[in-house]
Amino acid sequence: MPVHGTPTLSLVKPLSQDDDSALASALLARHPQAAEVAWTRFSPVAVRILRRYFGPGPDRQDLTQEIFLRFFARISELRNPGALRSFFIGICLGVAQNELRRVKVRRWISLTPTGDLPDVPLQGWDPEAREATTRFYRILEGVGLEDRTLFVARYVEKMDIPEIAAALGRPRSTVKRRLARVTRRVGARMSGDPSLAGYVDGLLPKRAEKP
Amino acid sequence: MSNDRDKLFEQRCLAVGDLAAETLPGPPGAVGTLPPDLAAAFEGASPRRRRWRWPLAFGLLASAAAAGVALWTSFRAHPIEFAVDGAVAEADGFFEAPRQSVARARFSDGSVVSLQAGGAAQVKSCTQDGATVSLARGSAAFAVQHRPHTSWHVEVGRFDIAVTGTEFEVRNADPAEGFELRMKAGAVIVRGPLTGNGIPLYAGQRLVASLAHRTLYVGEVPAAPAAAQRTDVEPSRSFAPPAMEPAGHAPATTTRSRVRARPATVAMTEPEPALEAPAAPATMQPPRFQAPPEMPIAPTPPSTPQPPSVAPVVPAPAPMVRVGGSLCAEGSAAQISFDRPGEVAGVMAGPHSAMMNPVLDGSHSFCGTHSLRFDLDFNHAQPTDEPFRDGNRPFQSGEAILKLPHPVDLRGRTVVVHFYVEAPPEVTFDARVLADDVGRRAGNTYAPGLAPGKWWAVSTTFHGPTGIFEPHANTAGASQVDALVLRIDATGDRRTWSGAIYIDDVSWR
Repeated sequence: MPVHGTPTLSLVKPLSQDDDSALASALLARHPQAAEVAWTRFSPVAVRILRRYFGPGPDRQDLTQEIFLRFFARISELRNPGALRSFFIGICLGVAQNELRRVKVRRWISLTPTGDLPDVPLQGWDPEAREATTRFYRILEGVGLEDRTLFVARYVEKMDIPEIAAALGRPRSTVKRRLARVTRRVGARMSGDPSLAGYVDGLLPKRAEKP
Repeated sequence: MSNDRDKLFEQRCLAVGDLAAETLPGPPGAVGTLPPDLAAAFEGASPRRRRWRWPLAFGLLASAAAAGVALWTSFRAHPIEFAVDGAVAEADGFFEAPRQSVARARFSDGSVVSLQAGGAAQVKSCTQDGATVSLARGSAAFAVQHRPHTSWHVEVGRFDIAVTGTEFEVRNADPAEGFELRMKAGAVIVRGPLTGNGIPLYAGQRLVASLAHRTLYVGEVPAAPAAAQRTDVEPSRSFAPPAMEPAGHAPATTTRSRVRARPATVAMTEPEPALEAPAAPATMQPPRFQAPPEMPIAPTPPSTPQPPSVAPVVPAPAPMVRVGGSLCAEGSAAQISFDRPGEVAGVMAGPHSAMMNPVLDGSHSFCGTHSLRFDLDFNHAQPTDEPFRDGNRPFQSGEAILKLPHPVDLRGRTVVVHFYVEAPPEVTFDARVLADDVGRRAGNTYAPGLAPGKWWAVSTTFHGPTGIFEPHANTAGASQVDALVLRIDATGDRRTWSGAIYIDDVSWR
């Protein structure tokens, strides 16, 4: 049933990927079931981005909830209902970035007291991949927060530059320039770890084979 | 050129991004159901309007915050002060305790530094959050009051102990030799030579650093008589540590541990380390492992200082990615992985051995995160008083002895030891695995012509009574093996060299 004159939206069954606009409209209209649908659709996105932003470690349920709190509170700022996903990802990256800034300020770093990354099982059984991933996130520890956000968005989440610019609310030129800088920085640091660089170079042929 | 490099970097970033995406995937579906709090928040949230109020609110808030910060800064800007009892502090903060009594520095934040008789220290600086105290010699007890932002530092030679609020003792401080640190409460981080990025210590633990021997020991504070313990917990009243020999006399080569969490139990029967009783056989065990029996680990040197270890001729290796590979898929199944407590009762270098200075190492590991590292020094000359050697000759073999927690019957079983030797590329060596069966060695196979720079797996199957050291009278099979030995012999054209060996994943089937 339409609520407040909003577009008709069947919220009983899951919406398809193309229904972001309808969901955005429902959220703006405070449809009683819109929050549940948004959670079903976007909570995996939030968990995935947090995992990839922070690297190996326990899932942060509290941050997932904080993301949704902000998402619900700021939904009225959404200009283009079709960009709901980018809007949500921008909030995810912002929350992750703020959290990392907070823990860095407090010098907690969500690591062990020794400063090492926690021994949390990673997906898959390949120990080399696990080790390489851990080393990669150690390198990411050394770049700035915004650079890390850009890197994760571009290279891990595989977002394109316009999408990143929309999500972060930054001009495309700025995103492009800073992305080039962080690419050089991370690339250079990977070169300083010959084992990691060798492992990653070994992945390039497989990557080239991908369509 | 630059473009090529940028393209390479981009390709690598894309590839490593793929890797991260594969190893850190998202959940397959929704993460449960919408939490009620979020549902309520959604229902209660109202669209934002009248945004023009935010700048005004922010401005007011910022003004109030600035005023608060100014007040707070003016209030807190005063550094803490201190006064010394029992001694006279010089203008630069240096004070010495008399030979027969304790001197105490009492700080305005409530912290107390009790300098043991004969000791010397200097309060180098004071801030509003703490102080930096340099312990020049002797022993001292520190009771640092924990407050928000507390930042205390205790310097002992090239070591720095970072404190946020705790009680601990520093003993036998000697900038050239080392010191001993005993934790009573709280936690500190020790940084300096041998510590890597820093070693955190928690209540009940202790650290012994010896620069002369290039060793670092982390273990439990040994049990003390009740009366002594009562004394220890209140250092400001009567701190009286037991008499100890200077750290430089310690003959022990000990093991450094990774300390991530407070051990679940404290080994109350743990013997004192060599620092406490230099004449007795030293004890060496990885921290958090079970309390080991006492074992001799090196010829006791006595009055002549031990010559410094020769630095490895190869540079520190780049950390490796490829180690155990798929063999470690399910984690190390080896009985001894050097990643878990209680796997061995102790480790030590054999007598007259080219191996020395065992330490848990995090840079190399076949599986897991750590291995056992020994320095290898085949340049090292034999002591002249060796009765069975003629003159000074370099070591030709080195032994790593792993003391097992319980005797194991290895008859008919195969022992596999993984190890990695870091040495000049042209050297070669033999390796063999031996079993120590009630003091007798068993094992009759060896792997010849091995080269450094790769992980090797050497195995030995123990088929009943075999002996290589007592061929005529040996009845020892491998029925009650209480220690495993990895022996390395320098062979080939070049037999004087130095380096390191990393031992990991010792298993028997």
